[in-house]
Amino acid sequence: MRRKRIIGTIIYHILVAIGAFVMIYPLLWMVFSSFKPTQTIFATASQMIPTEWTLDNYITGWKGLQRYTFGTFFANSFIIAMGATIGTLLSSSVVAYALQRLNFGLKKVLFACVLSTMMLPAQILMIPQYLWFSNLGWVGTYYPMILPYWFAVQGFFVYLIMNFIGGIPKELDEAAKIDGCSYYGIFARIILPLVVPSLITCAIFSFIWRWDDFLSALLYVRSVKMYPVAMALKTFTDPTSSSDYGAMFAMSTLSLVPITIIFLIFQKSLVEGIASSGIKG
Amino acid sequence: MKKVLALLLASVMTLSLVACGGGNSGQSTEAPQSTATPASTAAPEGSQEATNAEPGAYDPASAGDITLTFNWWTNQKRTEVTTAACEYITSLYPNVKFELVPGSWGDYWTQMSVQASSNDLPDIMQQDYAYIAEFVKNGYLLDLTPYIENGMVKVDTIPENTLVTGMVDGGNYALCAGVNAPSTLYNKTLTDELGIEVPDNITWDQFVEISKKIYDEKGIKTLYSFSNSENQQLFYTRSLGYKDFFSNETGVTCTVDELAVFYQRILDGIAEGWMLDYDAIQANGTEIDTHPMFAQDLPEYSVWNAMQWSNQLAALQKAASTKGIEVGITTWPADDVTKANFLKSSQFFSVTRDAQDKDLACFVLNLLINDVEVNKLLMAERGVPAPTDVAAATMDVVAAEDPTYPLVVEFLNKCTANSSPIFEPNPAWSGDLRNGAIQDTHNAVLKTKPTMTAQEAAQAVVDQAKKLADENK
Repeated sequence: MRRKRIIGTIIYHILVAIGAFVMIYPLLWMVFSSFKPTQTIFATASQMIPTEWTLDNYITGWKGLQRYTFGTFFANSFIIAMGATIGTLLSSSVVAYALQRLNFGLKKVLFACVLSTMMLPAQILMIPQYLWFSNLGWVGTYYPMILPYWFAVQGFFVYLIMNFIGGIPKELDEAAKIDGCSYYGIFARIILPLVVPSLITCAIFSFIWRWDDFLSALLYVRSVKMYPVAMALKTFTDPTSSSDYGAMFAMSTLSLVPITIIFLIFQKSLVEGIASSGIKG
Repeated sequence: MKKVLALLLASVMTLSLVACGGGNSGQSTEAPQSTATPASTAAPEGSQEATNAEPGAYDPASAGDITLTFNWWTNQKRTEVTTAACEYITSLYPNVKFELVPGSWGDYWTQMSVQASSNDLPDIMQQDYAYIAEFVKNGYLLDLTPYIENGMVKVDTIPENTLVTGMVDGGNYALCAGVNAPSTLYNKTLTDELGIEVPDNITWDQFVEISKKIYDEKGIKTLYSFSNSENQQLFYTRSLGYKDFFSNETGVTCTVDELAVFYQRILDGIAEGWMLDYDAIQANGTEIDTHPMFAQDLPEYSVWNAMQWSNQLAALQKAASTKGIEVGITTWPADDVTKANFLKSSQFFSVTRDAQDKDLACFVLNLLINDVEVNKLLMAERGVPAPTDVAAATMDVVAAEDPTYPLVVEFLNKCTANSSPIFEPNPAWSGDLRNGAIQDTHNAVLKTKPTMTAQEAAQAVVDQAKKLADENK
């Protein structure tokens, strides 16, 4: 019986490992290809491990565009992703607190509005948003990519934090109220410390989404010195000419590093955040 | 009070120095001039310009400190050479700086239409033949005719056939940044090995004969017409004596029966085995770096030729060299190549309606097109320079860097003698036909079990074209 279970476990793990490998293969292929000499990448596409290791792709790729190295592009991406993420966290948690704990007129309508932003595809908003930002004179700046997120525009995060707050016993609020806390005090002293796991979940998702965001950079950024990484990477390829795929893979690999590090550090809280918000919500 | 006066005097002197330096270098395209050379005393600003004035002379220094935006779709080489050329222009005219914005082809047009909608187009933009008419119709581009007439933009060494490609309704809206011609790029190492001579102005029969021979001996196939591109339909139609493939009146110019011959050729090629079928093309794609020409370890997926443009020879040769392949060049095949063949501008430069200083933008445009030193830096990456004198003067420099360049120039010279005027810019609805019937019929006939006859395919294209043309009248 026990032996049977062990065999079952082994088979299960082998199958899962194969599945995982299939999933991660494209990524591994890119990472290993970035260490191949660029002209051999497609000639040896079927073989993953390079026969000849080289760092040339990283050196040529890092040179970037014109006089701007990839250091500039990484810094730009950080500014955008951090700016938007901090804004999202602050605004979403305040809104979530209000919708979950306070009573005020039109609360249901406002909640429906928040939910509807989750259901509306971003592409539909693109044109009106662009015209609006253009009239504000924000085109060519980072404002359109950062400032809107300071107004809790991502319903998903509001909803996530709301569920999490819902899981916190109301008795804690009441105790704080008896001790003389205002609504702001309750939020700052009771709610905020307790929703940290869900804030971390939101932070990770927000950061990854902003880091990967290509389209708004394409629409709003007007000079190379302001390019984020996603946009700089795209200029490496041209299907009508020969492209430096080696350099592109090398820089793509580097662009994954920040996200991977953030994910590894906060992974535990991420899972915790999703799990507990799921159960208690 | 004394201090203020001193400051004032100092600033006047600096200003006049800058003005003199700029004015002086404005007359020369040779070496960068130091702004300090004519540092005589604080000469009155006007005098320098007055002495240098000649009819049509424009002094870029009069524009003051300015940053021109210049957008183009790019590859890495193009980014390098264009940046170098613009830095050189800045070294000549220190008050003219550039904001250079390279982008990839697909994103470029998204970006440009977005910027056009907010009156925010760059000063100078790269243009494509397919887009000029639309951009002019919307009033996005500046008519260069007045600047050509007053001599600021020189076009006298640009061949007439090339110049007209940038004209819409009699106005000059775009100048050719590099000349190009349709070309069959082929694996010369392979044809040499088989003792095959690929002729210039290759006819369809010669093309079939060579293709069959290569297929019989090596199992290597041939690429002809595929996907959502009407290039070969156009070339075929032109060989019949029509100038265009698309027609705003009737949809397409030729008849169903004429077009059916074209599709029958593909069906025959597939049936006889020498033409690469749809599935194989889909499996491999036809991007330069991974072109099926280099897939020789898989004969059923590999081809001996690529239907490209002459300015792509360098890139294809670069990729081919890693496989030890030498690439040859000839025209696309047609029954009458002289009727079918044409010279095309691979791309254009235009000044847009939103340019901050239109005089200066035209002045810089002229440098990009006509200045020998600038074109030496541009390395003919966009195609052979259109002005014949510039093409000749830059030959050696470019050939030293790119060994295929003399071959391209020689090929283009042959084409000039053996070509007809280019077709009209494509109508706006052509994209729908391309992604519609053209693609569908290609997919249907390029199968080992074709799902359409030649007659049906031709009918489908003609019908949809007619419908689209009628809808857009």
